[in-house]
Amino acid sequence: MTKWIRCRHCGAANRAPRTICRRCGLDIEIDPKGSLFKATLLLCAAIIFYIPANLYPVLQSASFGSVKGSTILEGVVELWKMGDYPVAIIIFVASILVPLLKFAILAYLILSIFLGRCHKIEEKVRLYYLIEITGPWSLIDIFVVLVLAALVHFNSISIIAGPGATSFGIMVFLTIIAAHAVDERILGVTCE
Amino acid sequence: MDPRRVVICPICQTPHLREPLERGEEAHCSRCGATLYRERGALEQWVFIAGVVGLILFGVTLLFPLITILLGGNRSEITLVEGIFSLYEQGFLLVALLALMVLIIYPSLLLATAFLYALALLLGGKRVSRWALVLFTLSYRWSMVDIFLVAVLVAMIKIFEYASIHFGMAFWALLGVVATQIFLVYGVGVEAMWDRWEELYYDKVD
Repeated sequence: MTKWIRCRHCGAANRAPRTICRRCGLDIEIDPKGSLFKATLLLCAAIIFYIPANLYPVLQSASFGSVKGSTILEGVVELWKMGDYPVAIIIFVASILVPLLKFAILAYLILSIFLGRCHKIEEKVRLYYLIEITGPWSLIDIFVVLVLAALVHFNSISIIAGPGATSFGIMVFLTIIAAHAVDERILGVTCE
Repeated sequence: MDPRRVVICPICQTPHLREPLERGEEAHCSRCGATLYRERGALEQWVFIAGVVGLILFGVTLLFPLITILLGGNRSEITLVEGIFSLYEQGFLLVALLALMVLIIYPSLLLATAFLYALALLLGGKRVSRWALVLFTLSYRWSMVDIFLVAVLVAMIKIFEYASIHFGMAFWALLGVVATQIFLVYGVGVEAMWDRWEELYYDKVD
């Protein structure tokens, strides 16, 4: 029986052992070792950047000479106190929960590939697609800072981005490429 | 077995033989039930319309003010470009570059390549449509105007108690751009675009 390889970019079926997709011409090689190595490295880097991203303020407001910074968590608490529950929940989920969940899911996927676990492969692939789609949404806080920092610069009050913003942006960027480095096709490669 | 007649399940990697479907029907994986493909018919007409509308609206998004606020007699307004530039001015070069990529360069690329792909398919340009589609395939993940739209709303909720807010023309155009992007990426989908490309050039593929 012919062995088939699915192209991750265009979805075309390719006869093994091709390394370049017959339809879109992009790379279709399955490289379990390289994929695990890249994903683990990127995940570790993302976790490192998660720390300053949450310790330093992403947003600072300067009012009559005094500067007050707020981290993402402080921003969420402030929104909650003001009674903006839906927004507080959106920011909490997108900026704090989603990155943590992504770390956990990525680590779980990497480990189960590494250990060659064969149960619930379809669920794992679905989890993979879930983090692929939700991952970029963590950037929402950075875009909020972008809008506010550009808009609010009056004599009485002005908002500027905080030092945590860069770490946060890098962290999200790293999780996006870490997720993409995990190859969903190798989750069950040693099974059957 | 002709590889063009084979479709592999994106979830469980089981190969299936592609069967012709009626308009609007969906093929599912025999093992895990995931959707394999849908019958879309001549999708290039819809992609063409979405591309033209999207490009015009994105032009409006870039050129006109997004938001105007009034705070204690002072007025402030931003465009998308100014927003990104002010991050750079405040010393956040990396974040500004990231924003430039995902909010301007990739969205433009997504819309322009979708438009070019459809135009080339309608006119019979095999190679142009393929290259446009390769670029689309590589860029669509990195367009984040949908996230930006939600971020604008969140930002407004944060300040609406202190300032009066006026949504500019670019904001309404951005809504349209997001709708177009959702239509292209989730409604049509990159794999359907490739399938259609292959269908039209079925006998002509080298």
